[in-house]
Amino acid sequence: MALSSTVQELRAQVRAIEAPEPRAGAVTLAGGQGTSEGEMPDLALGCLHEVTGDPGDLCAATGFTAGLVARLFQHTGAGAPVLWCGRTLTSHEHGGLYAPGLDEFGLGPERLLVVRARTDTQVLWAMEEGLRCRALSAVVGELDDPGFTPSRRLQLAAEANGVTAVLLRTRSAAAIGAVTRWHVTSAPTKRDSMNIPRWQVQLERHRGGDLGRWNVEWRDETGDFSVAASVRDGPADKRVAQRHQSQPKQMAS
Amino acid sequence: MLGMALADARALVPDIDATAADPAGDAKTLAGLAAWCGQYTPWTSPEGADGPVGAGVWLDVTGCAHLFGGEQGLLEDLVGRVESLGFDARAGIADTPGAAWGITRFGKGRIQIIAPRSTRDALGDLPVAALRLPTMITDGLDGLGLRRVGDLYDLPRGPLAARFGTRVADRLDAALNPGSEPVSPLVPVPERREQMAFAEPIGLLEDIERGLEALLVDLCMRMDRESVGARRVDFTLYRVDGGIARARIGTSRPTRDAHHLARLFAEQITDLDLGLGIEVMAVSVPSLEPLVPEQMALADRTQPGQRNNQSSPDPASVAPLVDRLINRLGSHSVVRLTQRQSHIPEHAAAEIPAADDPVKSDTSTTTLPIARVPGRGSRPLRLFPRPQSIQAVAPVPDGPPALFRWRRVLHRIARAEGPERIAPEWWRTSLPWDAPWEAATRDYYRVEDEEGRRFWVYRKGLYSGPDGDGHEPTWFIHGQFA
Repeated sequence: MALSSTVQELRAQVRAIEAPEPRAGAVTLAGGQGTSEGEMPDLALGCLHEVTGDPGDLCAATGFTAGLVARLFQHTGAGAPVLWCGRTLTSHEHGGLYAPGLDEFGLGPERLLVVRARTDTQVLWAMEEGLRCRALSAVVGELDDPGFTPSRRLQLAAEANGVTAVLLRTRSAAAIGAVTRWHVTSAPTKRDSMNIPRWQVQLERHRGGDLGRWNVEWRDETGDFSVAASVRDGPADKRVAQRHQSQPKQMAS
Repeated sequence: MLGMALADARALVPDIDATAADPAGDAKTLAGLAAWCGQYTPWTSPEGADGPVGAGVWLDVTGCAHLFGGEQGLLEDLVGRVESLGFDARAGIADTPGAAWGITRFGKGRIQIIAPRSTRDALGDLPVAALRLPTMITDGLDGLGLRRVGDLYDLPRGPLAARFGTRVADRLDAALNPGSEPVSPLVPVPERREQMAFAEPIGLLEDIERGLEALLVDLCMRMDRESVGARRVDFTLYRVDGGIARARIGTSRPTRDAHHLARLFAEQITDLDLGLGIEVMAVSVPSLEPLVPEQMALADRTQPGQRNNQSSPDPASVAPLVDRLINRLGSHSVVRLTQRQSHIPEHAAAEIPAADDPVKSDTSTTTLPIARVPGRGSRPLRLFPRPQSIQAVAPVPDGPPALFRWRRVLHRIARAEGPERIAPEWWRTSLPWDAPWEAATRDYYRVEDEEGRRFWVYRKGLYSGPDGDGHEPTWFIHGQFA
């Protein structure tokens, strides 16, 4: 029908307006072949992204963010460092970034600059200053709730200077106008050793792109994500419990 | 008159106003006045705050007088402004500090200038007290009939020193011979300084910013001609009410980029207390460092939003960003995280300030490479500053916990790896943790709960048998994995 084709045309026009122009390009997150679950979309450069987690699960979101900036660092090349801005309160509540743990993401001292601020305002200011300095590959900020206007400013600064900004939300709250919004939760590891971190990642918002949900692992050898097979929801693994039933237990405090 | 007793003064003027003396407050005011006089010359120093003949300020105006229309013009401007601040003032210029001191206090007239090389004649008629001698000596000289400085000129020094000590001769020489008595400035004299004075006091922020930019441009041009750079720059504002406002910035590398310095000052200017207005502002550099001229890049032609992947962002261009962050947030707010050679987890990581070179300033590493922790992924991504206590249920003697409670949430463990035993450093005689040694050993476990969250927990202490020493081990959580 003529009406539905008009609607299709209008929809295409709206999508074209909404989609950010691919001026700066994008970086692939998951190297290697996609599985039957579908591939993760490329991460657009030069704009603002948002990563959230559950209240008690900030470290999973932190790990995913570390993987994102590691990919951004590799893509930029030429050793442009990453700026990570956080508040001292967050490091007291959830722990501060630990250098041996950052090793597996390849973020050594010459690649990562850490800013410790006291207030949200200072974190936002540091992020904006970082975005204006084009010699960085990415800027990360740990914030509770930046509000709409500051996040809009970050988006504009990121677009103007071509530096990618990632907001790590310490508290999951209302969405701000970021290009993508990822929600990360921990997922049990399924391999022989616990060395390879694994998360369930849900792309909740994606301007001009598709949403999706994947189980993702970070591969240290190749320095990228890999989409893993889905976790079957089943009864909890009783191996550990069975192994210890035969030994006397002692309550420890 | 100075030095008179209160009773005598009251006898002359019955309703005289008497207040308690405040030597500390007077000294502070005098120091402030000396700093305020810095707008004439950076070489100022207060003197004589507790002397019987009134307090004063030394100013070394060598080479500065022409800026104010000659020595007479300088003194008139100075005395006029000091009097408008509410003081009674006299001023004098001479070849030596001693002569200037004497002519100011004992000469006739508010403003005295001793022409160069005529110090001897000018001082000759002054009383001996003009040589800064204590009253005991002046009374002694008076008893001998030596009342004028001129009487002392031709006396043999020997008997004079025998009677009064060397001070008389020293003061006389200091007053007559230039260069024999240096004046120590109150504030260290900067190496370079640019100054701007205003006909009308200004108070608006934009005007101050524009003045500052003009001064910085001049300063940087001078430094450019000399191929030097600055790492610290001071900005001083002299207020109409005699106060001073100061701002100081520092950079991680020597620089002579006026724009960058102006941006660093922009944060601090808004916090300055400008009083009723600013008359003079000055920028100064305490010390200079050599700075080789660099080849500047051609105009940046990349469009906004595009990244030119071929051009490598050199580390020097991150330095201005680090400067701005440090000047606003504090010097230890921007750090790099490095690893250290230690098996104790909290010592295995260190922070070094970002202003330093990450490779050169990591003094903790020796020639040995950092020992890789056993296995990739065996250290958490986030580490708590202090391990937090948890309640855990675990099989004895060294099994991983089956469940633990932390922050009121119960975690059932689905998977565990470990233990990794980390004992205190045996070469330390005083243990950082509680002694004895067995009670301070930690067994670390990587555990994963049913939802997939991964934690780094440890048991502090070892389970002793039924006949052990009764130390109950305790469980802690130290970090979280990605």
